[in-house]
Amino acid sequence: MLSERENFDPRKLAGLQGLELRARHIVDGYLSGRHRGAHRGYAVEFAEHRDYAPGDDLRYLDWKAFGKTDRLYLKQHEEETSLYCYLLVDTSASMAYQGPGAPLSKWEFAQCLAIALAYVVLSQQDQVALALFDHRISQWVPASSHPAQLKRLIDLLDNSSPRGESDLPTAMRQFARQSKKRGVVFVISDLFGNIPAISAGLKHLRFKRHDVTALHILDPAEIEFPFDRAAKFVDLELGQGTVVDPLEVRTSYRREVETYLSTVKESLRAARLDYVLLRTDEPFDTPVAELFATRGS
Amino acid sequence: MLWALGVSNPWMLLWLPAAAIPLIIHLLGKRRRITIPWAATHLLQAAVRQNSHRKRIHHWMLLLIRTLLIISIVFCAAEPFLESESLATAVRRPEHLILVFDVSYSMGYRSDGTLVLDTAKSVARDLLAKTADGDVVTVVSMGRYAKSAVTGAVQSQESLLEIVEALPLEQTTASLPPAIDAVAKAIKSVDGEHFRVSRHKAFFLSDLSTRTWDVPEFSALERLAEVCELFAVDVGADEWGNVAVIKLDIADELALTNRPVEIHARLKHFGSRTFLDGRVELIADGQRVQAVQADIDSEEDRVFAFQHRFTAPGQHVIEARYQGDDLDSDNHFFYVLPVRDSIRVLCIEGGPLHGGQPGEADFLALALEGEESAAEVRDVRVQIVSDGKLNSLDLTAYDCIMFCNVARISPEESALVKSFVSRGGALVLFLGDRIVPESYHGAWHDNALADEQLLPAQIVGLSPVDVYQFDPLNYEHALLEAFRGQASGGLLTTPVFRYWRVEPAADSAARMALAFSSGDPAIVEKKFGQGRVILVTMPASTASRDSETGTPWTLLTAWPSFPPLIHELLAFSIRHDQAELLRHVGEPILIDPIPGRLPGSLRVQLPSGEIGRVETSTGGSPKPFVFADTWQSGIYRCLAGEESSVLSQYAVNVDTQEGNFQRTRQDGLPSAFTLIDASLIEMKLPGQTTTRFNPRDLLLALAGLLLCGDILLSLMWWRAR
Repeated sequence: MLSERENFDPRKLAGLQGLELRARHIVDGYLSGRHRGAHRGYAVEFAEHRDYAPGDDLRYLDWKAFGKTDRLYLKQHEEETSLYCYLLVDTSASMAYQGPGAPLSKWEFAQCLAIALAYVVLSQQDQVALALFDHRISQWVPASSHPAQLKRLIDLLDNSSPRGESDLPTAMRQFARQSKKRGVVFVISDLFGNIPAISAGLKHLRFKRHDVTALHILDPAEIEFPFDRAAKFVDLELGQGTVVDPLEVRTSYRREVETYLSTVKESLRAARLDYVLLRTDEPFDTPVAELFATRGS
Repeated sequence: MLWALGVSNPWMLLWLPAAAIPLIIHLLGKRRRITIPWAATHLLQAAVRQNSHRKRIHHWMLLLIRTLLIISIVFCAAEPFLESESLATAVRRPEHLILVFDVSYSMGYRSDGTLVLDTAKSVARDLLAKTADGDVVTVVSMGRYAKSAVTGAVQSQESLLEIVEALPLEQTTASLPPAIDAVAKAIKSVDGEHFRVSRHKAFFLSDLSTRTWDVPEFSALERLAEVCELFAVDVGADEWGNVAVIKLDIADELALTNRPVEIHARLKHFGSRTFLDGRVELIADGQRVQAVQADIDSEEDRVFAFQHRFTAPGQHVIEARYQGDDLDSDNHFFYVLPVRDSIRVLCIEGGPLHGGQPGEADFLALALEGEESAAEVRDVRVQIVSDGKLNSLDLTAYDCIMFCNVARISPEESALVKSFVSRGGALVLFLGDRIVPESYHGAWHDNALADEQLLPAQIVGLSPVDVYQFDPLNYEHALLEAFRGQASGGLLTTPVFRYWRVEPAADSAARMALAFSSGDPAIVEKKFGQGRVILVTMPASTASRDSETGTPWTLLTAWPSFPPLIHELLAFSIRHDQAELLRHVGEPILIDPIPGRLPGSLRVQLPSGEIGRVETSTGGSPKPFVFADTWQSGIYRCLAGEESSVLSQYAVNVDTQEGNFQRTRQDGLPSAFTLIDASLIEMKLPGQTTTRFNPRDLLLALAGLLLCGDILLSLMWWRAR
């Protein structure tokens, strides 16, 4: 019996071979009821009135309004059953990074996080779509609330691997064009790139009336830079090497990371985008739960 | 400015490639770096950019420091130096150069046709060529004594060279201690005159013969070594050989005219080099009279005998001369030989003359002349006179005067005889029963200093009548040399029954030649002036008898020992001590004072023909005349009067031991000296006018600084991390 949070603990998930098994544990975690708060999901929301026209469904007449105004209005609702949740997962090569001591690579963590989010959405009978992107959207699973949707997403995620260079702004613009219905967009990425461009790309989604949350995944090594031996650091995307003596650059690197994170945070917040920083060595249940809680309220 | 770079330990430079080690480590380190896949490259590169500049500077500075550190350590070990003549000239302080020339006669040796002294002068010229303005030069000649030729600031190279070229060879040995004193004196003089010299360097240019250099350490040398660098420059020949004439004399005691005189020349071959066609010649009175082939084995000596007949009496000069080797100074040996046509003896008869009995002197005459013969030539001619006739005779016509039991000596006789003996005459006194001791004492003993007493001993009284025999005292005295081993000669059995007891003065120069069995002297002799006195304490006849018993004092005259004894007495009395006529170069000639002659009236002619003055010595009584300027070998003539008549001749020869110039090596030299070979002096000359700058200490300091820099930088870098 897994202890609390172990279902979402990357260290434990790392011990499970295969995404399906991991997905099952994540689902079990939700089903065990420990994370009910995360299940609050989205309620159906009344959107607006419109004048009754002959032939409209009388079930949606707003009798209260008629009583007040003697006019016949029809209620219009958000299509929650057509709540659309879009999971945009970064599959660029940089997501393959797994630092020393990290249980999961960023990609594996992103997989688990996407599955967790998808399950939460699907358990609300909402629709979830999945898009994988690097410099463009490479894979797409249209939104659906079908119970088999989770399996579809798992299969897609399991059969994909990180490669290629990242170009999040381009991918976002492509998604913006592709997506017809507004929804909640979770961008799961390490957000490596030009921050203003990334921010602009994500902001573009907002212009399309999506509700965007950036789930920023970083490996602990990328934050702390724990190396102590001179080495050649080869970029996973571009292949270029940088010879570094970690002892010489650690302090300045950490300063750079701090600056970078604060820049990302401020930039996204300035664009009224939600932002959550996730480490691949920490359980992701609480941040996800908090995220949903915030949405629900 | 001309610089020459050199290294003392060039082999250490082979470590220079080690300076590449830091670079190699750096490169190897690069190759061994691990590769880490990385995603946040932009962050990493941003971090690298932040401190890349500083890091590069640190890195290259450390690499440079470590490379320079290794290089400076390697050069430290290699001990580089910079030499520059111009620098030396610019920073050089004046120096005092002392050139000490060994001028002993061995330096006259010709090695491959070149005089060793000339080689020394050539080396001196090289040393002088390296002097600079302001330097002080002292030139010292090291012979038996040391003489400074010049001490002063270098004004003119030419004048110094002239002085060096003019240095003569002496015919003496070279003595080191006086040369050391001369050098010390020169240094004191230079320091006292404030020449402000930076150092003193003395070069002893010598053939390093052991005779000069094999000396024990002495304090003056040790003191000198504290203030002066001492160098022994070997200018001698490695292979050498020399034949020297080491002795010349005659086989017989006396040389007489018209008799062949056997002359012996002894030659010695020093060294290993052999000589062919060597010849030894005899030169008499300037004429070559005989020459023979002289083959002498190495380190052996050999006597060559010559015979020559002198036709005139007087002093004759003979010379043995060798030809055939490379050193001429010791190839000559001079000898002054007194030659007589006969020996003239004046016998003063103490008894009645023509009294019908043989007188005291008759026995002597018989013993000396022998039987009357028809031979035209007699070696000894005896004249007998009564004691009253002495004053009327020209005593210079005689070689020896014999007083035969003469009773008294008058003051006139006393003075005459004393003068006679002073001038070289011989006096033999036979004491019999007639003599009056007081008269003899008054004439020749009392009221006179010991050296002025003619009598060799004081007559103290008669011996008891007894039977006495002679005690020859081991035949040590030359007078009895002929009797050694001649037991049948009868000397030891000669009966003596009475004699005069005499006592030689304790501090006198008298020597006992023959004693009695009682211990009393029988014959006592001494030199007096240029002559000799022999005192015989018994009569030369049987006429002296004991007044009570009538026993004759002695039967000596009837004994077979009498003639040879008298002949030996005569020969000994007239023989001149060759030591007076034969000197070594540098030894003063002592001329016995001649009554009536002042030193100023005498002159000495040198072998070169120059005339020198005679001085009065400070010691002795009577004080002999001294002529000290005997630096040339050859014949010196003592002249007197306006006509410069030759009073006497003296032979001065070199000390032939100098001809054995066995050479000393470094371990035989006094420890204060550094040995330098003349052929290598250009390379090893410590007095050359270059200055060597050794930056070793600087390099060491630099290495230390670099090491500190390395530590400091590494610390800074570590803290910056």
